[in-house]
Amino acid sequence: MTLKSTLCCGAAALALLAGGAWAEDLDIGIKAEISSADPHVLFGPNRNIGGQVYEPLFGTDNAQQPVPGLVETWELVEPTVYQFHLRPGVTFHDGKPLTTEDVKFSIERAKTLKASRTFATYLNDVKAVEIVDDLTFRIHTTQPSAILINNLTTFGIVSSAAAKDAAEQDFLSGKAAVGTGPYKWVEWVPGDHVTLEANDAYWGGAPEFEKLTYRFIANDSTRVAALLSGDVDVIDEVAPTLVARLKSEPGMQVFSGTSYMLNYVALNQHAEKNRYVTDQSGAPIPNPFLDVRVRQAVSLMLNRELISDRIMDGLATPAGQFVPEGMVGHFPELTPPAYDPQKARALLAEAGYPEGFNLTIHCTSDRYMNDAKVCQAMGQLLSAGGIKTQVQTLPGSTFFGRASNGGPNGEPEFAFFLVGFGAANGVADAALSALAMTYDEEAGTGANNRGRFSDPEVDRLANEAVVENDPAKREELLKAAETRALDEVAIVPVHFLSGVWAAREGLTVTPRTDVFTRASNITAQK
Amino acid sequence: MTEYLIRRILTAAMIILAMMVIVFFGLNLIGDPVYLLVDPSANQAQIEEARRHLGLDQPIWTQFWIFVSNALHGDFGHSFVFNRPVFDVIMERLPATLELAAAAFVIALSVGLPAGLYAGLRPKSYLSRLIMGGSIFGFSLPSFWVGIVFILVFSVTLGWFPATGRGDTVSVFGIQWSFLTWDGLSHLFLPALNLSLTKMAIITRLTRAGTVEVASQDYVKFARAKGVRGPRLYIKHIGKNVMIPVVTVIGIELGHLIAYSVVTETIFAWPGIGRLIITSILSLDRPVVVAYLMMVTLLFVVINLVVDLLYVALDPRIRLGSVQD
Repeated sequence: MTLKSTLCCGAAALALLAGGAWAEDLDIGIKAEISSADPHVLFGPNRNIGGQVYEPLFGTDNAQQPVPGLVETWELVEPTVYQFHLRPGVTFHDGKPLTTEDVKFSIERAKTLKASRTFATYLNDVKAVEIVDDLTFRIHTTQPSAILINNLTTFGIVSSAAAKDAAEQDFLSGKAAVGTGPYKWVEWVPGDHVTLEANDAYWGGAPEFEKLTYRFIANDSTRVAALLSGDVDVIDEVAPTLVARLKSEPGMQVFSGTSYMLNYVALNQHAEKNRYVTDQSGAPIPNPFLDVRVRQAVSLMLNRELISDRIMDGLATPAGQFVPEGMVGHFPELTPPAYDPQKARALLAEAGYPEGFNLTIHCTSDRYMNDAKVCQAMGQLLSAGGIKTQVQTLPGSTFFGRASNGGPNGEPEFAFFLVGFGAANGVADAALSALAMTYDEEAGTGANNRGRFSDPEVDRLANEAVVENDPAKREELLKAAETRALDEVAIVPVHFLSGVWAAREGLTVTPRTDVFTRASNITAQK
Repeated sequence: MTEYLIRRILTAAMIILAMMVIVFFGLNLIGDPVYLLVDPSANQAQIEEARRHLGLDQPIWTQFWIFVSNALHGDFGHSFVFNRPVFDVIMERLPATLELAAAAFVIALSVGLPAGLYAGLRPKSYLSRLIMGGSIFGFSLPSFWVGIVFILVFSVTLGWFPATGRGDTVSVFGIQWSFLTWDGLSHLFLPALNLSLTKMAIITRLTRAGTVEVASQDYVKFARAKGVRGPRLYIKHIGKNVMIPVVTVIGIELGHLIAYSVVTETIFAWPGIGRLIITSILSLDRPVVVAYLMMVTLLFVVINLVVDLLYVALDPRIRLGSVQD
């Protein structure tokens, strides 16, 4: 051990002297495999790994907030015209300098790619990209867009030469896999691993690790075993039941931090009757969730502290709003409602349900951390509060279709169900738009509003917030929109899941809200 | 013989067609893949676009017709998840599974046959009792549990073998094989052993039962009386006759090894088709699931055919075909 640490520190000193990279490799065991090598196919694991090869225009800090990246500075020319200045001297992995031509190509490619998972929603308001000179470009938007910069953090810039007409196969083989990021694409062996290698010419300095290998280990126990046996140095998504085991192991460290993944309860607010809400005899009753008092009552019955502490083993943060601390649109004043069964009962009685009613709640069983256990706990809490509850958990493959359009007339089927939401751009606007605004196909709002909550005031405030370029005014509008949506119980936030990592001795993982495991948030202790 | 083969091929075609219909429509009943694919922030227009892109906006009968007519041209469509031809997606993972299955098969046979033969010839010895006792564990312990225990003991505690993955591979005829490198072999051993345990136990017990039965037959007694001893007696006179029931079971078990290595592949993060199929089912990746099951059906049909042909080789009394001239 002493010898090893001497060696490592000697190497560090040498590396510092030479100004070069650590001659060290990093093996990372991750749960979810990438689905595509194409950086414009939107999927969390793709962004985690691909984002290090194909840099976005703006980088993100650990709370997904934009920091200068390929774009050094930007300014507002007109309310719908944004001007950006690229960092000079940035080159692609093949040596070609980065120009606005590549940026225009990448934005247009990301917006129009023919695939089922694309960034088009994040680029919806981009009307045109105008090239001013080699390093200056303008984005014209359809309306003022306060979240344009956040949206530009989500997808990578590709080389307009290498990626011209490139298909999935070209990115997979490496032919089109040319970015500007700190790591270069080496290979993807489907089902097994992705290998990246350091880009020593990176504008931000050569990265710390020489080679990154992402091994895809789906099984939770195996991932931990791979870390314990030394196969990998770092693992992600440690299951709560295995955290204690890892902590007791000498030389192993566990890191956790709040993530952007909100788990919330959606309540059916559109049907007159729903077959999952019945009286004591089992006959459907007029939908009680149309009454805001009943919605408030169920929110008060959910003992969020208890769920976080006991069910989640502390690996969740009770939620009272749409996004966690650190993100745009988080307000400390919006605290999680305290557990108050008396008040809940009083509200139920006031709404005309002194005896409660019978309810069947639905959750996934394989989608979010401990989802089925949380569901059972919620069932018991509701039953204790006077609503006789049955719990049904379903695999995600069945759940989402039914939750979205499984009911009569293609409407959402369930009455009370637990879902997760997290937006790649890290702003509350995404959650407001998808979860709380009126379901409107034309406007593209409320796509995930499966409870079909609808309130003109929330719609108006959220619409105004997203087009407000003045940060102070925007914050006020966002706060008003969120407060209104939460007062009216558009959704019942339960908790933000934590990201959990474990690493061997000598490595530190800094948690990110987007739960990415990148070389930039892993450091070797010196 | 020819008539027999033609009939078998026709039956196979019918089975594959029936399987295709059941899986295609069955998966459709489970749920809607679009909601599993799109980003939670996607708006309605995006969701519709994804549906169109996958061809799921068409009526189900049209989708089926498109699928069948493409399949007849050898095109099984694009994976919903990977957005690449299904054939490529399956074929790049198949070698890993074949390699694992073959290794498990070799281990199962090379332990199971001698052990069963020994236990059958000396049923009262202590070693035989040990073998038979051990074989009960072999098929009654769940393989996911055994897999985890293997990893904990041999990888984590003893550090003899790596816990996961496939290790270094060597390219032969453009296909990656790991059994040709030392690192690859050390990665292969634990999952192969894990996968072989149940098969090993079944083969041991079958061989023993067969041996006990055959050893008491008149022709064996006659051979002994003639003075046939040792390997010649065990292999030629006993072994060959024991093999007939064993071959049937081995054939089916080989099919199972290839098609249903899901658990072992998941535990050991082995990049084969077993893991592909389970994730494809969970994400309702219909083109992959249908193509995979068609392949598996074909595999079983071929194995059964080979088993039938082996019968003839092992027992000249058996003839294939319906009517004898």
